[in-house]
Amino acid sequence: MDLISVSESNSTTTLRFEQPERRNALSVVMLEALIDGLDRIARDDRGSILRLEGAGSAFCAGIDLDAGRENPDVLQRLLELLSKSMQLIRAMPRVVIAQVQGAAIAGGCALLSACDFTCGEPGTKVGYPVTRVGLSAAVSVPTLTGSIDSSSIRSLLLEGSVIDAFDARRIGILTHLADSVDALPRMVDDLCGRLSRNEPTAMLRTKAWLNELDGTTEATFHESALVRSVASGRTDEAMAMLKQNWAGKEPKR
Amino acid sequence: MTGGLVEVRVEDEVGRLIMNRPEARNALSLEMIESLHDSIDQIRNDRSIRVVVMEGAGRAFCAGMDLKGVMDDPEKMGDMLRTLARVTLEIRSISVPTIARVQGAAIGGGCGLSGVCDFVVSHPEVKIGYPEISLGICPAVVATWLMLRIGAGNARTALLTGGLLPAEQAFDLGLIDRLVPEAELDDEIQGLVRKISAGGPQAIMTTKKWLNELDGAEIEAQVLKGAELSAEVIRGPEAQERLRKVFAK
Repeated sequence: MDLISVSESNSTTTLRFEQPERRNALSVVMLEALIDGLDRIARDDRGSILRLEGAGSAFCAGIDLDAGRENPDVLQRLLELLSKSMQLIRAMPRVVIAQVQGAAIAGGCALLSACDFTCGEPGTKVGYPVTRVGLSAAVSVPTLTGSIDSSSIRSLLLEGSVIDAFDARRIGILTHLADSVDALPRMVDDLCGRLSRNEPTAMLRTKAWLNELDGTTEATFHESALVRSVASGRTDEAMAMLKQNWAGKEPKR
Repeated sequence: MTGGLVEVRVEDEVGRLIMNRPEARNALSLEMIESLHDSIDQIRNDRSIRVVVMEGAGRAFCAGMDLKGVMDDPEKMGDMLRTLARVTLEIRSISVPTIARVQGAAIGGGCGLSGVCDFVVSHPEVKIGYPEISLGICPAVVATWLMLRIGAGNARTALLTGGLLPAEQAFDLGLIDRLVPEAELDDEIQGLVRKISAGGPQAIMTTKKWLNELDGAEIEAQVLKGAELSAEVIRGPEAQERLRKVFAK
């Protein structure tokens, strides 16, 4: 089974994470597959909408920290690929909608922050609990600044907690909230249908203009944020906390 | 000045800037936008004014850009967008607080005008929002102001979705600051004017000037660049075809 799947329907392309047994955690190969898929979609000018989904009970449980057990350098690679993925989503010449059932945690939440629309359900949980393992979620800041206000960013990143769907909707990290998990795909279908009736050139030029105004596609902003997250992962504090975290779990095979 | 496309009335230190094209729901023709420019100049030169109330005669505040009248002249559409962009900058630069009295409708460019004011007072039945992209138009002029008013994330959702917003949602987003029954609009605005006028004029003007500075040094360049972008998109074949279909109905 491929790690991601890509399908087309009318003006909408759907990119889906296909590792439900790992709650679509972002490994190096998963992120590489995501970047490859995003690159191909960005070059295809036949559609105006991209829908991001995760198979199974969770949209995405975040970056696969277990991969750093044997080689801590993998963490840097994961963060670099995550940053690249976020930049590709934000700059995507399509309107990007995330369909978020269950968890969108840490790296999963970072991907959400780069989307134009984020649709959740009452069981959706988002947040950045990475400070608990000594890491900084700074890498997510450039796109978060284009989604939610400054005090909410501080609260999310410094407290390191996970918030429920209702709080996520209140602060705007979710733009839409379905009544139930079963109603979520229909809500996203309806949004795709509505957006597909907009004139594509006007819509995509507007997206590009909004990106320019909010600065969320500035490469230097992303590079600076990435440097900070990578540096946090190299500290003795992070290594000690990560080891403690790994010691509490059996390695996943 | 009375009887023109835009009227200015000054009473009790309140300057009223009245769009006066009720038969067209105060849709913004090039002539009307130019009249707004002249009238704002008049308001800015009157040192007796402590508060400005921007309003529309008749049933609607402003139904948006009057593109039907220039359907065969895309260059003139561009001129309208550029002039509108300048007018939004001029409204923002009025040294005293500005209040938009929004009844009936504030659509597209009309919503752009209300959104650049310091306060927006409206009622639950109002038709408000940015339907531009469904018409093939890029709302780049208003995007800059909307982002400042309601934040980048909310502006993205509102502009990329297009269409109108329920008044309650517009209120929750911050597109409307005070939502009262239509019959109470004038009382609400009078109360707001009294409250503002009770403050020290210098303190208020200094505060507004500082808030305008916080909009950013690039604001003028951004708004004008937005106008060029909007003008470019509206000249394009997709927008022209979509507009012809809409106006043929």
